[in-house]
Order: sequence, then C-alpha cells, then structure tokens
Amino acid sequence: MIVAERKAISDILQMIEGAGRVLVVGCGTCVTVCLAGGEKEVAVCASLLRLQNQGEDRDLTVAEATIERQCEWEFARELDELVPDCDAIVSLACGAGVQTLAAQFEDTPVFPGLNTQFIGIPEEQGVWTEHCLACGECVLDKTGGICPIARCAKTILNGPCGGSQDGKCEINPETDCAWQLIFDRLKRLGRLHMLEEIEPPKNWSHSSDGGPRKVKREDMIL
Amino acid sequence: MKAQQQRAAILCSCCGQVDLTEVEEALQSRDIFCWRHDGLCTEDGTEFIAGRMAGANLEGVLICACADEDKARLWRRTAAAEDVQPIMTSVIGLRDLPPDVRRREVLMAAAYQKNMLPVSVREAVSVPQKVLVLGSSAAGLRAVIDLAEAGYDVTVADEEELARRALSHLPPDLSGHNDVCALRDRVAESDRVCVRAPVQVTGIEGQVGGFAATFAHADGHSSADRFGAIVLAPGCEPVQRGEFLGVDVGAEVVPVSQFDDAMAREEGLSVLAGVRPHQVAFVVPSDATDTEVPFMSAVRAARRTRRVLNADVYLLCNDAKVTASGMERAYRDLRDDGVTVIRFDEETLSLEEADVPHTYTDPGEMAHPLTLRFAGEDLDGAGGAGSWELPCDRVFVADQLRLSRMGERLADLLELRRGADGFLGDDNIFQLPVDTNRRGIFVVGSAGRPKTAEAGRVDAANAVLSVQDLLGGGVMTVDHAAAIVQGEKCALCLTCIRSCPHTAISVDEDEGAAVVHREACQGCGICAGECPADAIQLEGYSDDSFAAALDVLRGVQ
Amino acid sequence: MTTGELRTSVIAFCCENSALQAVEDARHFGMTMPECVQTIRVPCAGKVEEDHILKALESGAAGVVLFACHTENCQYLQGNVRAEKRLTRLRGLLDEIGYPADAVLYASAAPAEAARAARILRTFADDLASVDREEAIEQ
Ligand code: SF4
Ligand code: SF4
Ligand code: SF4
Ligand code: SF4
Repeated sequence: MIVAERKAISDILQMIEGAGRVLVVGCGTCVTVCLAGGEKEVAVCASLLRLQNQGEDRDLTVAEATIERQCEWEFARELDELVPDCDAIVSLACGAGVQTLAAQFEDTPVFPGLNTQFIGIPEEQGVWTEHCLACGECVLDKTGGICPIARCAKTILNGPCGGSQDGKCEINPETDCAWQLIFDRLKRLGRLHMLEEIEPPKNWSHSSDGGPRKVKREDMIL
Repeated sequence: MKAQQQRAAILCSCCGQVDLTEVEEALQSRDIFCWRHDGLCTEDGTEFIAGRMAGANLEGVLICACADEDKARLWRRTAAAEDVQPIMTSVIGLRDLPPDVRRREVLMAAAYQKNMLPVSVREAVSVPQKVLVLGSSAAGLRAVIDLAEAGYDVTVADEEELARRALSHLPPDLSGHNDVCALRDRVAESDRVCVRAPVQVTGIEGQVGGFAATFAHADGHSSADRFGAIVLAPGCEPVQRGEFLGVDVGAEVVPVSQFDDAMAREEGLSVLAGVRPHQVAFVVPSDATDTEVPFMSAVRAARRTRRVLNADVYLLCNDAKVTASGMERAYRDLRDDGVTVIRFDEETLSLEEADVPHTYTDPGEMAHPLTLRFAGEDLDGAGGAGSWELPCDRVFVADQLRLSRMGERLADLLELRRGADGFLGDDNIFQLPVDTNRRGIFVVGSAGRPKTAEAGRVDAANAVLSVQDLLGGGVMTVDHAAAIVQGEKCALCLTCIRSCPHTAISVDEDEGAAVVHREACQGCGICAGECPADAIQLEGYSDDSFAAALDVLRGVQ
Repeated sequence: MTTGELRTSVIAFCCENSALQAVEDARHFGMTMPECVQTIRVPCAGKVEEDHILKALESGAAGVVLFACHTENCQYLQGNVRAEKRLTRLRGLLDEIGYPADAVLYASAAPAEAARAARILRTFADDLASVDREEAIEQ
C-alpha cells in the first residue's frame, strides 16, 4: 500500500493562509490503513486548524469529509456540493489523490496535507517500511522475493556492496542489508546459483526516468 | 421507520422528595415529553410506566427513579415490549443526587440516548460443558480432577506424556513426586477425562463458549473438538545455564533442577557422581529470585544433602527476596539442620576452578576442586579490603525459571498477553488470580508464574469457579457486543484487531470488514479509540454522545 | 461553533472504573475542588479519541484531563497505556500549532483516591489559571 505521513501543521497553515473556508478531505483507502489520512485524522487535523485560529482575528471555518478513494473521479465527485463553499482544500491522501481533486475542482486550490512516502508494508503496528519503488520491471524473481531496488540503499543489482556488515546496511545500521536477505533467502530456497548470473544494467526507462508512465488495457477501455 | 417518533421521560418525585420543576423544564426545552409519578418503585409504578408507553410510539424513554438493578431491568423489558430499543431506555436515580446536579445528570442521560446504535438484546446461548486443559503441570492435573468432579467433561492435552514435565522438573510446583503420580493416576482413571498426550495443538479458533481445537497426534492422525473454556497449565522450566560465574556447568557446577531430577527418578544423589563431597555450596543468584520457588528448591536440596551425606552444606543467597511466605520458616529449618546460610552480594562473589580437572580415585576423597571467593571490605577483620574463601566439591546453582516451550507456543497460538517476565500471569490486578486477557481462557500453576504446590492447588480451585461462572449449567448469557463496526466504513486496516486487548475482533471475510465477537468483547472501547476510519462505535459512548455531552456542558454553564 | 462559554472550565474525561468514582467521592466529601471541573464518563481512558479532546478544547474548555487507572490497573489491560501514548502525541500536535500543550493532562487515580483526584484537578486548574494570568500580563 501507499504509505504517507502527515505534514507539519505549520506547513498546512502556511498553505491555507488567507483562506476563510477550508475543506479537509481524507481518503478511506491506503492512507486510512497507514493511519495518516482517514476520517479520524481528518477530524484531528480540522480541529487543530480551528483551534489554532481561535484568538486570531480572521474567520475560519473548517469542514471535513472523507471519501472512499481520492484517486477515483467517481468518489471525488461526491465532494461536488461541498467544494463550492470553500476557498481551499487540504487533501489528506497520497499525491495521486491530491492531484485527482485538483483536476476535479479546477477553481479551488488543493493542498497536500501529507507527505507521500513509499509503497510499503506495516512492519508492525505503527511502523512501516519501504518495499517497492514501482520501477516498472520487477526483478523479484531473481532476488528471492526481496527488492534490491527499494531495499538496498544503493539500488545495487549485483550485490552486496562492501559495506554490508553483520547483515546490516552501512548507510543505516538499523536497516537490514537487502543483499544479505537475498542471499539468505536464495540459500534457503536452494537457489544460490542464481547469484552467479550477472544482472545487466537495468533499463530505467520503464521507471519514472522514461517520463510519466501510462498503463493501458485495451479490452477494458469502454 | 415508524413515523413521528418521540422521546419521553417518566419522572419520579419520590413522594415529593425530589423537586422536578427544573428537570422537567430542561427536558421539555429539548422536546422530551414528561410524565410524573410519585412512587415508581411501587407495583403501581411499573404499571404506570407500561401504561404510558403503550402505543406511544416512543423512540426512547428516560426513567428517572431510584431503582435497583432488577427494577431497572424490568422497566427496560417493559420498554422493549413497546419496541423501544434497550439502549434508548435509560434509568437514573435522582433522589440521591444533590439538587444542583440533577438537571445536568438528566440532560446527560438524555444526550447519551441520542443517536445510539440499534443493538440486539441479551440472550442465553447453550455452550458445551467441556473444558480443555492444556499442559499437565501438577496444578493442571489438579484442575482436571476438580473440573471433572464439578461435572465437566475434561480433555487434557500435553505435548509430552502426561505429567512428564511435572515429574522431571519438580521444583516449579514443588509437588512431591508421589503427589504428582497419584494425581496422574486419578486423571487416567476418571471416566470424565479424555487424555490426549502426546499431541500437538495445531489450532484453536473461536471464542469462549465455542473454542474449536485441532490436534495432531503422534501417530499422524488428527482430531478436533469443541470446548466451552480452556485452562492452561503448561508449567515452567529452568533456563539452561551454560556457565556460572565463568565456570562451565558440568559435573562440578550443577543446576539445582538436575539435583531434583535425579531425586525424582530415585537415583539418589547420583548427581554427585560417586564422590562423597565434604563441602557443598548451594547458590541462589539474583536471576533466580524473581519468585521464591527456586530458593525453596535450593533449600530443600540443601537440607537433603546435609541430612543424607552429613557434609558441610552452605546456602548462599542474595538479599533480594526475604519476604515471601514461608521464608522465615525455611531459614529456621536450614539452621536446625545445620546448613550454614550466607548472605552474599552478587558483585563480590567469584568462582574458581582448579586448573587440572580432578579425577577421583577414591570415593571418599576430598579434593575441593572449586573455590568460592567473596571479596569485600573488612572481611579479614582488620579493616582493609580482603577476601574470604569457601573451598567446595560441588556448587549447585538455583535455576532461573521461564515459561515452558509449550506455554510459549500456546501463548502465540491463542494470542495471549504475557507479563514482563514472560509468564502467562499478568501483574494486572484484574487478571488475578487465574484470568488471562481472553475471556474463557484461564491459567493455573507455574505457567502463570512459578509457584508452590499449595498455590497451584488454589489456582485450580479458582479456575473451576471461573469456569462454572462462565459456563454455568450449559447456558452462557451473552450481551450484544458493546463495540459495533460499521462495515461500510471499515477499511480493514486491522488496527482494531491488533489492539483489542481481549482478542475479540477478527476479519469477517464475507462482509469485508472487521467483526466484533460479542461473547469476547468486554466493552472497553479501545478499538473505537484506535480506529482510523471512525468505523467503530461503542454502545452508550458513541461519538455523537460525546458531542451531545459537550453541548450539555456548554448549555448548563 | 459557540465558544467562550466553557472558557473557564476543565473537562475531565474520567474512566468509570476508577477516576470517576474518585472525583465523585471528592465532590461528595466536600473536598476542595475547582468549581470549573466538568466530568464526562468514559468506559476506559483508552476509548477517548484525540478528536474528542480537541473538540472539548474547541468548545472553549480551558483544559482537558484524561483521567485513567494506574499502571497495571486498567481493567482492560491496555487502556491506560494507549491513552497516555495518545495524549503524548496530542500534546505534540498542540505544540505544533502553538497552543499550550499543558492544557491537556494525562493523570491516573484509583477509585478510592478521592483526595489525589481532587489534588490533581486543583493543581491543574491553578496552573491553567496562572498561565492565563501570564498571558494577560503579556497583553
Ligand atoms: S488516493 Fe492515494 S491513498 Fe487514497 S486510495 Fe488512492 S492511492 Fe490510496
Ligand atoms: S523490482 Fe521494481 S517493481 Fe519489483 S519490487 Fe522492486 S521496485 Fe518494485
Ligand atoms: S480499525 Fe476500523 S477500519 Fe481498521 S479494521 Fe478495525 S474497524 Fe476496520
Ligand atoms: S470494546 Fe474492547 S473488548 Fe470490545 S472489541 Fe473493542 S477493544 Fe475489544
């Protein structure tokens, strides 16, 4: 899932400066699951904005809404009635959600309330780690199901590097060395021979280096 | 949806003792209709309530009278008969409230009624009169017998042969070998008891009143059964010591549990490997003083050694624990038997081994291959730093105890909380003596924390009471779950499932949402507090009720 | 939303297994209690959500106390632990917006500790008042 983290309230306050009526919009999918932008976080964020404004001269009203998935037009349209009444939208969704709202509501500024972090998993409740960089050409078949692109600090395809120590990464000793994990897993699977193959340089044009990507399924296009 | 539903209040003036004017005004200003009566606690009162509600098509009713539990229940039923949801029926007493808070309390009660969620009513479900006892420590065997005598069908399952651990590690329960054997035989003979051992417990699904357990037997076949409640009794075991004070554990430095083991197998003092030692030290290090059990084992072993061998026996113990019951007595017994007790400070103790391992040729030979050394101020009596030595032939070390492996596996399988020391018992007073964090799962004996045989017996008796309390005569009364998941809002983030302290929530695959199991939910609302989608409401404490309460407080100011 | 009416008040979310009893007893025994304290009954401190506390502040409460059971004394095992963590986070959030974090307090009391509950509430209310005074002096 997409993992995100709330921006500092001070940043959000700066963005909405001058706006009198603000709509805080949450997303009921990924960011609800990673506890950053669900209905409760929307309530907290809206409350904080209102509280901060107490004692200030300007009038600020903050409305709240949470929709199923912000990255879908149909759901975004559920806000049709609320948006005309507001001067700014703070979206507590990932970047895709923010942009969907921005595209849907062209005349209203839409601000990101979260910093979208990565595609990852909850390591344990309250801790998330990055697991995929969406490189466009998955190599997990060769690496024992452990992604060297996202989980190796140097994105090395033929690892490990010389900095792997006691199974930890030299960039951050709290992080497992992805290549140690790959080695261990392949060993367990009895497929260590796979590491003898040298992996040629990756074609990054399938990744974001090739410009914005698009996926099509012809048969599904109505 | 019934048309035009109203809310009403039935107020009791308690023969004029309660001034209702203010309360009535406040309620009416919130569109709550009021009826008065001056003695609702009488027979006539109940009729009055029924009469007013009949056909009134009420959405909720607030009854203000000083009723006891039974009356309150009766009135709620009366209301339910008129189609008023139980939770929309509030009963609060006004007479004993100071006049200035009456108005507020009434308004609060009214506020809490608002926007409540519809719920089902309490119901009695039939439950199997069967109890599963997992593990066969001495306390567990005792529980098996007590439960069978109380009329339950008991299945006792263990990963090893029945009572094997209880017999091989006697110290944890401090039960005598004969006691355990007798218990085991009684269990085997009882026709109310089904023994499954050795067996692996492969899964336990469901909740109290309907635990479904699956077992994998040694011969490869598997079986399944349902139980109303579970009693855990996997016992504890000693932590293996590799070394003690730098000397390898082996023939000369020996864990006390090994001593006990040998005694249990009636091999006598064979741990002493043929020698007749003249100086023996028993040491209770600080890691073994969390409970009194390792200390007591050491005491018992020391006395025995002293009596049987007539050797010089020393018991070295830490200052840490002296208050537990029976401690004073133990010291006295030691002294009476002629065991020398030495209090020592862990920091100052060291142990040395003779360079050349000693081979005994003559069983009566004295060699003193070990030397315990105490360092400290003024040990030589001359005021300076010095040291004092105790040469010995054997050093027995009290064991540090831990939850048995089987206990650990069960804790994982059943998602049980473990105390700071890893045992299944918790320091939380609400879990004493035998409760776990899950309703219908109890823990007895040293799996909860190392304890004496006597304490284990008390546990077993308590477990029986708890089981009876829960399963009664085959009928368990369950309320609706206090926590209600609004399926369409649930994102299945699993937060509530992970954070429910009572393991009362699981995923409902069909609904695609979390589901609270009513028989296990204890109504704390922690799940609601955690849910990032605000998808859980707690009966009586919905989000709306908080908002309403705040409104009331603002209004009352 | 109307504000100001609760300006001088303290809302105490009280766990019904412990602190509620203590606070009620304190009132009953006539212990010195700040006039301004209003209690809201909760089943467990772990039920109280951040937004409930924020809403209380928004409604104009000068301060909010989250009153739980003592450590290892929560009937629901984890409620007080969760509550305290949640409150710590909330204080951080208040700090971020420049709101005095001391306006929210986590505290614990046993049902029999009426005097302790009263003292906690008194100290809290006094502290709030003195902060107000400082602000008044600044302005
Ligand atoms: S908007 Fe972002 S966070 Fe929300 S569902 Fe879409 S991808 Fe997930
Ligand atoms: S190889 Fe690419 S697609 Fe596969 S997990 Fe790694 S980043 Fe994601
Ligand atoms: S915490 Fe809420 S959203 Fe998450 S699984 Fe539970 S009910 Fe669903
Ligand atoms: S109310 Fe408490 S016990 Fe019930 S499901 Fe929620 S967290 Fe679990």
